[in-house]
Amino acid sequence: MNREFVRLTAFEQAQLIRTKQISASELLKASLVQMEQVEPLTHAFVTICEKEAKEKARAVDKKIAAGEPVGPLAGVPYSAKDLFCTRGIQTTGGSGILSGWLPPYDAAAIERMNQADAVLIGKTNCDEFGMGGTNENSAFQPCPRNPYDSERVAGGSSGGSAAAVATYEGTVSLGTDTGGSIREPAAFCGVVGLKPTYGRVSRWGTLAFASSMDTVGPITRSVRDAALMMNVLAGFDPRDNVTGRVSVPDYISEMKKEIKGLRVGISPDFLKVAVLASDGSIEDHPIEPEITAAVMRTAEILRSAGAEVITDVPMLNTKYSVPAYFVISRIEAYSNLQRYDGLKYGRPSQNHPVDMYDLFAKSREDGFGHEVKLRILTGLFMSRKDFYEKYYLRAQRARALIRSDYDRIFDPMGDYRLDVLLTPSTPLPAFRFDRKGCDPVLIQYADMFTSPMNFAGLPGISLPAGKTSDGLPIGVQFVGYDYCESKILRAAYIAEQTGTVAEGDCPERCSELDMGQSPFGNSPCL
Amino acid sequence: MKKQMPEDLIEKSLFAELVQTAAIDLLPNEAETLCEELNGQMEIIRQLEAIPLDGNISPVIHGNPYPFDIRCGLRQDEWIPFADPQSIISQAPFSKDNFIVSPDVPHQRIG
Repeated sequence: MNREFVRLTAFEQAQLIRTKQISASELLKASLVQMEQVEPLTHAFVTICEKEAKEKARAVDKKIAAGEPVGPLAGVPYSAKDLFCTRGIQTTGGSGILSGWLPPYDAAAIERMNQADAVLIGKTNCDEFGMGGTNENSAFQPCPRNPYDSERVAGGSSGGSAAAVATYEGTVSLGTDTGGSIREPAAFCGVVGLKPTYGRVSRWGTLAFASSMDTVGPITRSVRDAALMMNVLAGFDPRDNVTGRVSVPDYISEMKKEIKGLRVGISPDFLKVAVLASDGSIEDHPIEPEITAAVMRTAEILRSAGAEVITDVPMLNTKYSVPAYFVISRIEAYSNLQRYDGLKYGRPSQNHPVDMYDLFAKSREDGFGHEVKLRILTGLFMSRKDFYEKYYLRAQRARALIRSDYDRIFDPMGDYRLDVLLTPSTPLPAFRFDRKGCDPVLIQYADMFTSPMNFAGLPGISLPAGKTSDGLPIGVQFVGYDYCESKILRAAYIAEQTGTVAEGDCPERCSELDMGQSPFGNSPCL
Repeated sequence: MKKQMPEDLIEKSLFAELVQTAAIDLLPNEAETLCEELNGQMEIIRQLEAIPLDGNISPVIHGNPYPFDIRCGLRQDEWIPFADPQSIISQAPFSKDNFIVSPDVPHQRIG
């Protein structure tokens, strides 16, 4: 088996399998060898489910041999963030409290991937219950490393998924995004990450963090694979009652449509970090110049392809998203995490509980990590009756204010009439674990360009847009209006196809990841 | 740094109340650290007060609207038995006759 096959896109792999040029079992075998080589360096996985993967690959091969129809992802090896319930396969959410837990059912996204005949190879590491942007907040250490520099974070919370896809440990991955958890690690690891419209993809069976913002989406190495996965994942599901009864287009054909006349906006409010103080004063902080340059380069590519680029689009309320997101996400997290008690759900404490309440308190003490405890307590404090109006209600009103910016710029009869907004995915590239040499303000506000979309419920896609002079991937983001994933995919596809955006540096073409060598082989730190 | 307002300073007694409600049996050192960190977070939370919100802005529970024609609607309130209850029960620390067995539940006098 030629191990080059693990480098192909999901689209190409499925085509080769359908046409019997390779078998699903052979491709899986090659993927497992790749994992064996790179996993000791990436630490992307919590669980590898080799036995189940082999069974599924054999089933796909059997269908093909019998001439039966197969799904669009036939035989494609994929991973899933460890927040997705997988029947009989450990699902931890990156938390000690769920260590060893075997869900009795599959999440809706897993069901759909299974129906599409994709092959689940394992569960990827993540920040505990999705709470974090570096993957350091996982009970399962060592946490994932950045494939381009192992001294740097992979991002989070879907960092394991992004690191796995970037290093060919599976071809695609399922992630979740509550404040940027798909797009930020995708940007840091040089892959594509799509956060769909809130309610576009069912979250049934996904461990909840902040329910008014949680979304499920793909992490891939190409825009076309993101479109292909969206074809599989998107759609109404009565088990998640925020999914909308909105028809699902064929994202691949939509993605290829003419870009001429597409209106692309750039906002100066997304080219700086505006730090808000409690007295109302605002301090502007510059982002990394190489990231601004990547955004401008991408805009120029789209303009050359026939898009209209509109600069100076005001998004004045973006700076309010940080405190509002902070409050709402913690209140919802507190509510969602009350279910883990060590009796009905979660690993019980072995610390001699004297009664039921003691079991609850000891199990939660033993099982939760520091960051999760802090968020629970913060959320609980802000949920108190005397602070409800001051904090929670005010944050919900701020959400309406932030959303109004997007309603205005995407209004087809308005002043801007945008189809997509182009922004950086992050204000800085992947930073070091020890934070040395990195701007602490930019680290603190790493999700500033992604969390507003969770707040507003809008879709966003991060794609590779070249590298910094240090060789670290840069991500740019296209944001669209409700259920307009087709438009952001179209813009991203053009940017990717020109090659100028990634300048030949995206992992599919990256010579650093030579077959048979460690993905860190050329890294100066190893 | 702005001086903390007394109303949202989290003192040890209030913190202890929060910890009890959150049902986490914190170690003493950990409690002290978390209390300090929680008070530190008030700086971000207070930024909310700087957001100019006029009276016309109503709170929203989701960013995007749900017009009636795309809404899921409420499910029928029907009991649907789970196919494999044993797969759930077997993961509880103690079980008997398909029930989860709890440690002693202390009785509390209410009111």
